[in-house]
Amino acid sequence: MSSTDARLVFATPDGTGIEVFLPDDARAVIETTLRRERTRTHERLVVRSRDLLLPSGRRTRRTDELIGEICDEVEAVVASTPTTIDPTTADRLAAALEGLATVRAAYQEPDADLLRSFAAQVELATHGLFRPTRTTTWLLCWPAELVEVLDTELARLTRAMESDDATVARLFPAPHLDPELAEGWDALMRRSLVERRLEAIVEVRAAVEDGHTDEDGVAALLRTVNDLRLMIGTELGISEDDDTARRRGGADRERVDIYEVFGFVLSRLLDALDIG
Amino acid sequence: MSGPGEVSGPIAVLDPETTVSADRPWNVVVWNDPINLMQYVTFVFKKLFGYSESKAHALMMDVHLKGRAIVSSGTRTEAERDVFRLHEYGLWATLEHDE
Repeated sequence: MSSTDARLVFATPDGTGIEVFLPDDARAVIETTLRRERTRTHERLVVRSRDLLLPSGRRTRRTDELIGEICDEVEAVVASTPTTIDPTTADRLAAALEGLATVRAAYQEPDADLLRSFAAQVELATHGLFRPTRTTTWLLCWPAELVEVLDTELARLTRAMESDDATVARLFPAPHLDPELAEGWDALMRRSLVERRLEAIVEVRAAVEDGHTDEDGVAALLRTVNDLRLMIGTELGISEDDDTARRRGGADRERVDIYEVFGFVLSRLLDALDIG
Repeated sequence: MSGPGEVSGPIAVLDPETTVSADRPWNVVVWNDPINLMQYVTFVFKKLFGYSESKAHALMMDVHLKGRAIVSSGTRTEAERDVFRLHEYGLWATLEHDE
């Protein structure tokens, strides 16, 4: 495989497992990697990865055995693709791929990035907040606490937009630095933006309730979570990069926590969209 | 009424300043802000303008380090459309007439 951003792993439509699809070129790269590491004596290898701690020049036989076990885990799935596997097997595969990637990176082999991307995709499809399926549908697997926080903040965002509250000023910046150039266009634009945002909120609520959405729903989710960060960040008075850390520990701590949770959610969604 | 090819009056002399002004594009400027994630800004540039990862990332870094970047240019209508879409994604964007 020449690219590390091809999507190889998907959640099953019911979210109970993952599907692994490897194109022929990707399978060939991984099979070559497995052959190489099974036959190599890892005398000088020094890597640290989860359960893989391999001091240089010592316990060489054990090192080779460990890497052999890792290769077995990967081969069991690769040899049977396309295949569907359960979450426990997926976790073992992700750990094995990560370990193999660490070994390959130690030898400065170019396939390390591919193996890491493969491992990340297995993790995403198994445990991610947003899990891609083979269709255009995305599964939303959110803990109840997160859904509750989202629901509360969406209600606040709706009220703030409808009452033209100052906390949503960042959602409606002036389109011109010179107000004379706006010629009323800014007011028209604001009304349209409010409508679009209210529509997006409806779409987000439906997606979270249904546990799945399509690509338009993902875009609505992305924009809305970002809107929530803009609203809460304005409430917190964030005006400089990295202002959040300075405010932590003050009276706004709970709001800072929510702000950071939405930052995490947004980041995970962007990570998921970046692949494929 | 004048027919084709006929000249019924003095030929208009175009004001060079006016001509240049009409040709000047409108730029869409995105400004730095402390809340939007860098990863998010890069994603928006890719999604809205179809930019490559490297171009979107370079523009995002310009916004972050220099405070602003011109992300698109065109007619006023095109620029207004781009500003609207950027505002829809929560980015601080403004229009400006090219100097």
